[in-house]
Amino acid sequence: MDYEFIYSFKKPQLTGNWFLDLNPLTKLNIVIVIAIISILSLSWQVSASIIAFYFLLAALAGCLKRFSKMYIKLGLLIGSLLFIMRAMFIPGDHPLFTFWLFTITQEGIDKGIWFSTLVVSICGAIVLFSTITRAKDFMYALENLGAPHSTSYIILASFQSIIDLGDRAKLIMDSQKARGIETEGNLLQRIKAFIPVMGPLVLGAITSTEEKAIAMEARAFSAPEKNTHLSELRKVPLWEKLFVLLVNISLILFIIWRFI
Amino acid sequence: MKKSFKLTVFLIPIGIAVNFIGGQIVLLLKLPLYLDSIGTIVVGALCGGIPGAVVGAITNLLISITNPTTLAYIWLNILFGLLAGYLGKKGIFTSLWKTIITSIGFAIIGGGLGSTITILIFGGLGAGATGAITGMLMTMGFSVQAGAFIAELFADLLDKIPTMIIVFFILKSIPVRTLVKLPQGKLYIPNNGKDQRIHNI
Repeated sequence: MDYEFIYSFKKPQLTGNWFLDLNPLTKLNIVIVIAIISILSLSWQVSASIIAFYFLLAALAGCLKRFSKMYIKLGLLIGSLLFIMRAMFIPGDHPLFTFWLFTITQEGIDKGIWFSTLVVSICGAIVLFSTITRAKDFMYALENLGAPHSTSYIILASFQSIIDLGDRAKLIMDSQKARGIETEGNLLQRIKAFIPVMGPLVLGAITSTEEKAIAMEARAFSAPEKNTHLSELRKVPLWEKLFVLLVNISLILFIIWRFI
Repeated sequence: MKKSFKLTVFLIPIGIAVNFIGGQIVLLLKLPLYLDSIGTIVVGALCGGIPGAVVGAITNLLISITNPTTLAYIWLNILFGLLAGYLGKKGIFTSLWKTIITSIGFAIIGGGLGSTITILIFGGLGAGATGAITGMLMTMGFSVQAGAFIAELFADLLDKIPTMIIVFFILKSIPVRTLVKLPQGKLYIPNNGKDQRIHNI
């Protein structure tokens, strides 16, 4: 029967993948260390290998497909934009070739490669963290550190509200179209169409907060007692603590090796 | 007072979602604007500077999941919220003309501080359309600072004027029964909140 499902809430809900099951704060620590190494190394080779390393980590966590779908698109867009800007506009003493207004220089190319790989590698840390960590686990870990539970509500409710309001926006837009509001045509017409969509959406959302507040109060949202939680986080095992220590020591060693 | 604080907690996620959806509707209507700080300014005006700043900061954090370069601009959204709270307290948003004039203030934060951040972190050449304008101005002989400042101030003013007009009409249309329960809501009730009928609601 469904007892198995019910009893699954008595234990921490693990996925069975050792990397995914790490504590959210451990994962945060690891990605921050990687990003710092990329910033301090000041070389595009290191940043590029870190970018490749993210794919390895994502594969390790078993979410390579989800990660690469998001990251490749983002990386190509941001990386190429930042690179092209620098390659075109940074002046230097070693011009490679000239066209129209622009002079492409060796300095511009070098700076462009370094900066775009750096930014893409920092972006990767954030994208990787958000793919391998569930928002509710992360917020619960922060609550254990002492964050008030209303912050968890605010963050998690925002995700839900974005989905809900998005659906409502489509609904309102269709209704306004049926009423004869033009959503296509020249610029002024489209700007005018924004107000009849946004107005009812925001007003409806603001007035509905009162109902939401009453519903949450009925479930003792602001009761002063300590909250209980439906799902629990795993107690951090010793090997995980040692692993975090090892990662942080290697960062310190890297800084010492790099700057002293 | 306690009650209004509680409503603020529930209004913050709404403000964040409104920021997001504003940006999405802009994409659907193919407008050359951002219009992605309506929620921040509305919550700042209704609940005060700190909740507004919280809305701005969390919106920026959530956007940075899909586009991490925006994380550098988190200060802009925090300041938008604080400024909206301050102006709301002063009762500026009750008049359309004063509200439109405040868009200069928001544009100076967005353009001035925004271009400073672009220069400090991206060397003036951000990843976006304004970055290209900056680059063009640089080749025309402007310095990096001047180029980035002009490009971003102009883009921001074009964005903030419609934003403020929309914010004004939203604030004007919120029903009195909701306004009385929000920290700064009483300021938006006609007759400066002294209307005797309010006490009967």
